[in-house]
Amino acid sequence: MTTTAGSSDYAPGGHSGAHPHPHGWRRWLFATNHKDIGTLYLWFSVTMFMVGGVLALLIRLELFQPGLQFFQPELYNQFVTMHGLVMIFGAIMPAFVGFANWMVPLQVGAADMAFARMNNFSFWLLAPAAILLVGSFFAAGGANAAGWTMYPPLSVQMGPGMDMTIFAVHMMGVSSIMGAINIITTILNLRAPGMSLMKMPMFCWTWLITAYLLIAVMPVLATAVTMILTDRHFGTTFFNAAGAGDPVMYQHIFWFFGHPEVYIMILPGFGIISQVIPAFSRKPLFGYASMVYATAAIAIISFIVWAHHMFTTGMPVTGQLFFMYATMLVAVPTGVKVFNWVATMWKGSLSFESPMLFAVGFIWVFTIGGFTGLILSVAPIDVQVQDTYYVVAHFHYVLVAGSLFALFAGYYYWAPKWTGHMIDERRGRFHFWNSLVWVNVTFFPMHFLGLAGMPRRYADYPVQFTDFHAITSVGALLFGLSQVYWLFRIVIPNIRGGAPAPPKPWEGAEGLEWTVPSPAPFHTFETPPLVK
Amino acid sequence: MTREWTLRRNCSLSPRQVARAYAVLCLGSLAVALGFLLHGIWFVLAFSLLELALVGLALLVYARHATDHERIALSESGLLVTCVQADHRELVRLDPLWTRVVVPDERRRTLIQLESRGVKVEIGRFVNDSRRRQVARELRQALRSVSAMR
Repeated sequence: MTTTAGSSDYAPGGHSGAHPHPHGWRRWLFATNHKDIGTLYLWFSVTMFMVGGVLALLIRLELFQPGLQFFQPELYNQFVTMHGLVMIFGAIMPAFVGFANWMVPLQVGAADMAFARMNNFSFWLLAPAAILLVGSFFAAGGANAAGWTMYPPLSVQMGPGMDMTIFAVHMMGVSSIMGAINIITTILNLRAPGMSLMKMPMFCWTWLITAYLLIAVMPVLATAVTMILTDRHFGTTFFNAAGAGDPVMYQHIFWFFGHPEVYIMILPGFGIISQVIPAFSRKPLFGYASMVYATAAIAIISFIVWAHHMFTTGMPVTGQLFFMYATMLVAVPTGVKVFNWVATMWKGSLSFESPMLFAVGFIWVFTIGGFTGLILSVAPIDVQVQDTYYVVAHFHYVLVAGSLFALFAGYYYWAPKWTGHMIDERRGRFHFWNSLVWVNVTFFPMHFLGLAGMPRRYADYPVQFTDFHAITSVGALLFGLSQVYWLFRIVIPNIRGGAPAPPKPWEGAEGLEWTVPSPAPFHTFETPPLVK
Repeated sequence: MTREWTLRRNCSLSPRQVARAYAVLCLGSLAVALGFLLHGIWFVLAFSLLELALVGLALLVYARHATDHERIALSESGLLVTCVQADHRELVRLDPLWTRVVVPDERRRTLIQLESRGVKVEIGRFVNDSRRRQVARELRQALRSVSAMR
């Protein structure tokens, strides 16, 4: 008996070419191919990364010296807020979804994502959302200036820019939910025969868990912004103490979403690092099962730590103790991961091509961010440094040095598969060392600023902070220029040409994605491979 | 002697396993929603239900077709073609001596057509074009050997 499990290319009605390779703008607007949609997501996130980067540099320009040089505090606050929103919802999250679109079907041996048309819709929802978000600068009263957390009463009092932000956040949320549904269904249903869950690549595992997290917390974000909307326009007083509401309740709702969101932005990065380190150590991952369980543990614990963002808003000592210890608990599975990566490298046959440089750099700088997180989890310390630059340093070490470095590691690792060209290693190394040095020059002094009492979200500061702010601003400018170098000297030249990439350009790489030619053809795995 | 070909959709989880995965998702999401509901914030439940309905619908679409397959069994008693799609099951018995196999057109990516005494059946919707043409060739050869034996 012959049994074939496949995915069909049959065209109902016998139309010539069931999946004609579309050209021109139609290829992108009506894209249903996972690789095209992945590319769209990645370009979108690069664009938003540049927009968010420009906002960051405007902030650093103003903070280069004490006093108000360029912007009024109102505009400065808009820059700070939009920098956060653009980077989180426009750059990091779509970048990881782009990676998932490209790599999940290739890694599980599927022909495409489970719901190709929904995939198209979930991407194209991002475009109007981004236009609303960035366009809100031109609304009466300017953009949202209440911080990316959108705390009331500020968010209830602002102009129409706030409504545009709320609508944009809703659309981006819907897009994320649809992306999560697609990823869950693809991973659960479309794995190649023989690929059990515990044989799946770590990137797929981390994305599966991230998708579950997204589904669990997106309704909470939708609730938070909808309640602000009804407070603004429909006469409710959910967050207005004068109307028997409670502004602190908003913080609970927001951070119940916000803290898992932090892990949504880092778990797929852990997955990428867990792919890159074994490949360049030429060893299997030290403890695959422990990595899977650690990822799940981080996701579960993320639901019981939200109030560590609110130690200073007032809560019983027992509450402080609970959230303090629960937060410290995160260090256990995270430590399992870090030690796993180190143990994978131990006695491995290491080589340091660009993906590995970024992966090792990630471990170092992310661990700094992790440790400062641990310090901040201690309630009495947090009370001292709440809303200071220490916190800004912490989360930038986690998100820039963490998520962004993981994204770069993934880019250098898989770009040959995407474009069919090898990346110029010399340029990759130049990009890495510049990124590593300037990220530390930018964010390390922020720890000292925070410990000395410099509050965040202020356009001006006393002269005692001048030197560290100046160093930070110079570091930020050079970090930004390093990314411009990456875009124009690495990404674009790599798309246009370069040494041809073999199907498996990295000696130690394992996985189905390396069994298809480079660049990956438009259609792959029409017949699922058999995994042994 | 019986020869069989089974062509099925690739689906790595059975409907029961998908239901379990969905139950875990619902449990997590509804626990969060219930927690907020107890504090009077019913919005979360409304959004959660909407979202879970969408996820459920998506998984249902897949689960309904998880066991879709076509089975072609050639024996001395006849050529039996079974097509199962969602809850629809179609069984067609053809006379192997009178069955014509139309090999799919490579350019038009059509299905394999089996035709016998006015009865037409199309098969191969769950596999790709190269596999369809391979099955058509094997089937044609097997039918030829049946008629040669008679």
